[in-house]
Amino acid sequence: MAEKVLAKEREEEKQRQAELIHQMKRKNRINAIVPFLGLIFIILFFAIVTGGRTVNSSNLINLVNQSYTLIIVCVGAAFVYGYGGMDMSVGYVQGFISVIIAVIAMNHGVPVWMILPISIICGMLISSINGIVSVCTRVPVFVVSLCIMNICKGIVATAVADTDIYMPYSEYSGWNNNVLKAIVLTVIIAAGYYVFEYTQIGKKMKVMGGNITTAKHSGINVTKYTILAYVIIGATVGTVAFFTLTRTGVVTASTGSGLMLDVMTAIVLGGFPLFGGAKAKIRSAVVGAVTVSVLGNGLTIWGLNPNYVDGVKGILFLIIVYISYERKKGEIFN
Amino acid sequence: MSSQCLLETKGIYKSFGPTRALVDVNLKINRGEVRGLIGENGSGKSTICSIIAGAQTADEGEMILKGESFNPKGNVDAQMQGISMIVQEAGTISGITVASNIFLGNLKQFTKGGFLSLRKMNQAAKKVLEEIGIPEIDPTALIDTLNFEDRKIVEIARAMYSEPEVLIIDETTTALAQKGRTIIYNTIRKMQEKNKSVLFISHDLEELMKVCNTITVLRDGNFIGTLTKEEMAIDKLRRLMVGRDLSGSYYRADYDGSCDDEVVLEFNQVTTGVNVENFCAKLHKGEILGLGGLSDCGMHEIGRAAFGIDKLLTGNVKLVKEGKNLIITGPEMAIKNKIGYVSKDRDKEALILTASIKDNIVSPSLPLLSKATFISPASEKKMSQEQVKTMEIKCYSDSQYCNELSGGNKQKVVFSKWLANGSEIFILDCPTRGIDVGVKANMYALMYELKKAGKSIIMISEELPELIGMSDRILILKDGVISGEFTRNEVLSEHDIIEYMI
Ligand SMILES: Nc1ncnc2c1ncn2[C@@H]1O[C@H](COP(=O)(O)OP(=O)(O)OP(=O)(O)O)[C@@H](O)[C@H]1O
Ligand SMILES: [Mg+2]
Repeated sequence: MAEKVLAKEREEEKQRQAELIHQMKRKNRINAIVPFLGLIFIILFFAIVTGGRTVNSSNLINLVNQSYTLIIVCVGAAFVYGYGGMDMSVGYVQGFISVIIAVIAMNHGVPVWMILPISIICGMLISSINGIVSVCTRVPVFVVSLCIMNICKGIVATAVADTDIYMPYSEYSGWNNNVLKAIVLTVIIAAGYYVFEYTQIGKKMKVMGGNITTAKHSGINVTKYTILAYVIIGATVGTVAFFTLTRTGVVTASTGSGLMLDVMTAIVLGGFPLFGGAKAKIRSAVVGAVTVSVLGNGLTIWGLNPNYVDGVKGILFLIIVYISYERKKGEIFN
Repeated sequence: MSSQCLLETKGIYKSFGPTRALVDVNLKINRGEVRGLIGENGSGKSTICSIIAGAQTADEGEMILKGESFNPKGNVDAQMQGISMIVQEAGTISGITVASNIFLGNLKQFTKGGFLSLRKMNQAAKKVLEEIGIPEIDPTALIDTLNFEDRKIVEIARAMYSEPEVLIIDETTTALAQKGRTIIYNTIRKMQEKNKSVLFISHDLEELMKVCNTITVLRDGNFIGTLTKEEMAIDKLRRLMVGRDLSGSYYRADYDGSCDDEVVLEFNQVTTGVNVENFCAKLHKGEILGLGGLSDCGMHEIGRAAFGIDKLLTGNVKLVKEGKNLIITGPEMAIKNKIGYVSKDRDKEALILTASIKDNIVSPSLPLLSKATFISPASEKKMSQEQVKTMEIKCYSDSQYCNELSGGNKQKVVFSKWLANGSEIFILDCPTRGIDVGVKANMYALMYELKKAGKSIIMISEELPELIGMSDRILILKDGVISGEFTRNEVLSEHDIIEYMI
């Protein structure tokens, strides 16, 4: 008799637990779509306050051009932030690459189709210095990339000291082609998604982001994967440098200057953990990138002085980090 | 001894999402009482203790301390009101000194006009360390320079400086060797002499019966019962804990210490930066080699050397595989050659706390799972679920994060990593730390099966019964050199071994 009662109780307990697990999963799913909802909200908000000017076709094309560079770099950044790294140098690395390819294209008569791979390789080489120096000297990569950023900034400033570098625009206009861009973007997102979520590379980097000692003890060559992360982000920056140059046709001292802040803001806005680990997802990086672009574009059209847009992004960045950062509650235990 | 009630909990409930950690727990602890707390892994022991110590709050229920309602606002507050806790996991903060760790969150007493008097703080720390019987730890030393055991002792000092009325010790002794244990036992005795109370958690039933006046059993968060000294018996305790009879012997039953002649791992003149000097030994196929000694005898460093973690000063560790000799160069190479290593410091070195059980289990096996660059989620799931089943990891799903697991269940996850990886050589540093009796028995059976299947095991342990119970051969180390070697036999006793340790 007592046995029966117990069995019944156990059955009830099991059901109760199943119900709770179900609830929790639903809650997790909702949490996962919050960044998407945020994006939709921002789009609607700007559409309304600007009387639809943000969603007319000419602005949409403009927006695609703006967001597409950021999305590509954020796919690369997912690898760097995913393993627990950071890259302050992206923007000026882009500037540096632009200088190199502009000079090569103009002075050496290299065919246009070869400029893209050259640009990508330059990006991989320059950006990998971040990882290489950091693992060799054990200086935190945050500091190393800050130095690289300044070096690149100096190089660009020197190169454009007398005059901005202009490209023979006519030759390149064919590359400033929306269909081509859409293809490149799709390929990069798909490849990034696959490599980050379904291969050893992405999975090992997430392990490193979770606990670097455990990663070493699990047989992960952390030196190799640290450098690889910067090679990957470098490839995306190289791609972006090329397409930006074909669109604008000019390298100035400010080429790529806003990229670093945009990438960081995108990372946190999309719900990507700033210090990497298991919760890192490519889709967060992509959603974040789109959100930042919509935001910057919307604010400008709304009439905010473009010079203030960075300020607004900075404040937003701080707010999001404040909300999502798991602060130690001043507790000693647990 | 007055039987005046010091601390009482009434109807404590606590849930974590779908997990019910505590259900209507009523405890009553009297002055002068040493109360043991036992239960399977994940039965709620740490949870009830951390609620009493103010680190968490209960969903429901109340607590009464010295006749008054007790609602601590945090663990520092609880400590000021007379309740201290030594936690199961590592609880020191790295990057600061021993003294700062002792007085963490409570530096006001040494502050005057906004300045912290380091001298006063170090003096006070020195005094506390002397009181608990460990004057050799330097209060000005950086905590990171201390080994695992000494860091734990610093936590004892932190718990004791405030002269608590109730001391809670959560599963600490199995992480400690003789020195640390003696300190804990002495501390408990002193508490009892002063008519104060201790709440003591351990999975070592013999230890509990020796130390405690009364033992409370928890099962799945439910209060099962409290036994007095007269009622205690190991079999009875086990039955109450698990809810069924656990019969049969714990360790392997045979006394056959022979094994294959084939050497699989060879230590040649290994000297490490810490402790170990010219260590030479051979591990054979199908052998369980026990390494024992005091905590600073160098046995942990030998485990690390075998996995290639630290640089060796001299010598090497050679792996013999298919007739070829390979020198161990690092964990990556070791794992490729089917060596697995369970570290003693699981939270810092062996686990990703902010990742799921699944991610942890598959982490060393990613190269195995990768098929033409693709790692299918289904293959990961299969691997981890097999392990959750064999190791009886208590969780609601293998996507649960490791920081939500109880101590013993975390340990199971670490062991699983290497089972899943199909390791041939297991280097196990305190493998059964914090694991309950039922699972421990399974784990010993598993180790024996592995041995029978021709795998080799180095078991580094501070528990002599475990070494004697499981090893084919035991090497005892003292100050970094081998001081004794014992082959498995029926009459080998702890007594025979201890004299080689000290
Ligand atoms: N922060 C948390 N989030 C979710 N679940 C938790 C959390 N802390 C504990 N639990 C769950 O509560 C239950 C009780 O855990 P607790 O740590 O109290 O066990 P324990 O008795 O101390 O076990 P062990 O002997 O392994 O240390 C477990 O099922 C555990 O998974
Ligand atoms: Mg516990």
